[in-house]
Amino acid sequence: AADVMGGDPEKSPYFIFGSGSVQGSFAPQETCAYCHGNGGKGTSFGREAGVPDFTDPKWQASRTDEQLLETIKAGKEGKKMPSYRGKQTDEMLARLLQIVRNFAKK
Amino acid sequence: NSVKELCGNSAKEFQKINQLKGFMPDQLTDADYKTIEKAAETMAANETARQSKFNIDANTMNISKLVQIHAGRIAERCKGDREGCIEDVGHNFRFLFLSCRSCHQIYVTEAGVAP
Repeated sequence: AADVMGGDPEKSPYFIFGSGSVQGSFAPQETCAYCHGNGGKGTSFGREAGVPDFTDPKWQASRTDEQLLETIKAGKEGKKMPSYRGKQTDEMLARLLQIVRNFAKK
Repeated sequence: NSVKELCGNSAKEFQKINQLKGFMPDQLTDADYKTIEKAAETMAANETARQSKFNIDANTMNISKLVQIHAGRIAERCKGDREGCIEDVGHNFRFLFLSCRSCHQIYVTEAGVAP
């Protein structure tokens, strides 16, 4: 499948979601999985910070792609969600959004 | 079998390849290459089982395909010419590791599962 990124997992969005990136430009607390892990349901730390359950179809329907992409780029002031604008390419940020959507897809 | 058994079996096969890391090409025997090939084939087959029975969502399917692609490349490469084989196997073994780890980090984030 096109979005499998079968070639080089070091550029794979799954590797980025899980551990930031090869160069370690993310501090551990800044990796997506640190808060949004456990299959998108959220870790204990994430739930404390109020992360949504990505596997919930209702939540997925309540947000447009543009809104989610803006959240990923801008982050959320005071909600511990860092901004990722400039930390990854726009193309990779769009792939990370695809991962968020995939948690509620079979 | 269950996901735990599939991953446990794949982890054992992963270690068989891992134990042969660091050898120079002339130190590896045909039996070693066959061990790597069989281990990688088993890991790729485990992913087939996972995709058909234990697929959680579209992400696990994609990650499983990543694991399957790299395990398959290792198995295929071991069948080919010995020249440069170790480098190709090592290259794909790194990606195999990253793919498995992606799933562990995203799905069992707080379990601290290796690799």
